Amino acid sequence: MPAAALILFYLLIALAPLALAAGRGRPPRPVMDEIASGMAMVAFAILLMEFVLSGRFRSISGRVGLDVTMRFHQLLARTALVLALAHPFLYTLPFARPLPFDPTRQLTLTFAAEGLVTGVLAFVLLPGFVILSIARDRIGWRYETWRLAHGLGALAIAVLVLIHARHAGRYSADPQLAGLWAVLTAAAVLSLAHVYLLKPLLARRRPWEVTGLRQLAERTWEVVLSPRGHEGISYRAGQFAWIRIGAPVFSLRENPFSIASAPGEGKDLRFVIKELGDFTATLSGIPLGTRAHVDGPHGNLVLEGRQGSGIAFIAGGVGIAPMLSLLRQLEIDGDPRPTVLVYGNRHAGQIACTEDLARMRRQHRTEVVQVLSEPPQGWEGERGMVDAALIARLFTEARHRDWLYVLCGPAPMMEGVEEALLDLGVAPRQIISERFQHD
Amino acid sequence: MTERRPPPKLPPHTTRVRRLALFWVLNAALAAGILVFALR
Repeated sequence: MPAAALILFYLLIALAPLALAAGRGRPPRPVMDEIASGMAMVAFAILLMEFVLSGRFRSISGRVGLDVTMRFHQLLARTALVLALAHPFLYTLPFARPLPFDPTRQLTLTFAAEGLVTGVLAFVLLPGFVILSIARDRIGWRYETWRLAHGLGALAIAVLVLIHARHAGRYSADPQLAGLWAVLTAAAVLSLAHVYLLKPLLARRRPWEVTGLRQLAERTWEVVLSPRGHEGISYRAGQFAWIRIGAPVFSLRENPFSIASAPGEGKDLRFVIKELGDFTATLSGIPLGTRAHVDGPHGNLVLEGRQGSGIAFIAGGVGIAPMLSLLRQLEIDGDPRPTVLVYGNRHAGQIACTEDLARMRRQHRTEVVQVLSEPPQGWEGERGMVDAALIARLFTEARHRDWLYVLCGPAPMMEGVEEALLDLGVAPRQIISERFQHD
Repeated sequence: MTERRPPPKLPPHTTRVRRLALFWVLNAALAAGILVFALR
């Protein structure tokens, strides 16, 4: 199972510094001092691996999903923070210059300026950095600014910790462990270079152009991108891409959006985008012919490799985008399984893609359940939220137990729906989802 | 007549708990690794 193999590999790298340090056969120090060093080494390994878990590597997020990759990145950052902050307080040995009769440094902690200064700096910066990341939505920074600060801040902290480990650590100056730190740091730097330099350079050779732009609903736009001088990308229905429109390739004005078109429709990519702020607020003014760049596909909100005698698509707001792609591809493939689309919005002006929905009803016999929390007079669809009560009412029959459920929408909606489906006896593997936001 | 649904088999927030379980298993494995290292 690839996901389990990835987790084992992760554990192996996180614990590798301990194995290398133990392999030197140095005489042991007091247990608390060894625990402190062990915590510091594991924290550093986790910190360096965080760069690769940034969600931009298809080999990882394509296997376990972007949601899981990002959650893993966020949770492990907390583990690294706790280990890093706690470790200096556990040492019991005195700080002193190396003693001539103690070549393995069993009796003292190193008293070296480089080690202390970098350690204190990292100690102060790391919690601020993690808190800033957790509070990202509340601090009101533009996404692009936050992303740059996150990448560069992480790199600065990694360099400080590397110097600290080399000068203050008992083990990290040993050739094997120093080699491991060098390899992991190089992987971290390369992963940043891959995202910020290599990908933009490759993107420049594969330009796209805005060939369609229209308003679908209140603050919701359809953007069509066409490849210029190349064959486009090979993707699966339900995946997403990072797109940059009308900005230089090295610009950080790049956002992830679900692809709303289906692979079987051709090379053009269609996106359904909601104005939220940042780049999305400028969508309405983009002229046709504007140069764009696409990095993708990413994500695994896909039907390939999954079983289900029927498929329910449950979307909130702009979460409709991947559902359109998935449903359209089923339509093209002539998939005979029954399909239900539950689509929730606040009011009627927010309902996007009405023609697509009508076509699906007509041609693919998809049952479309529209839900509005503020319905107009005479509304014939469902009223209220896409919540546990609605799901329990819609999917009560025994045949619904082995359906596949595809969820995309705001976090509270998805959590409510997931729990309702589990309550109904649907197996967890039959529920797949993708979030818009990660903390 | 209102239908009485049986009580849910799984406690609320099960999915989140399930996802967090992996995180705690990993943390436990890391803690075990550190202890083995310290007590070697």
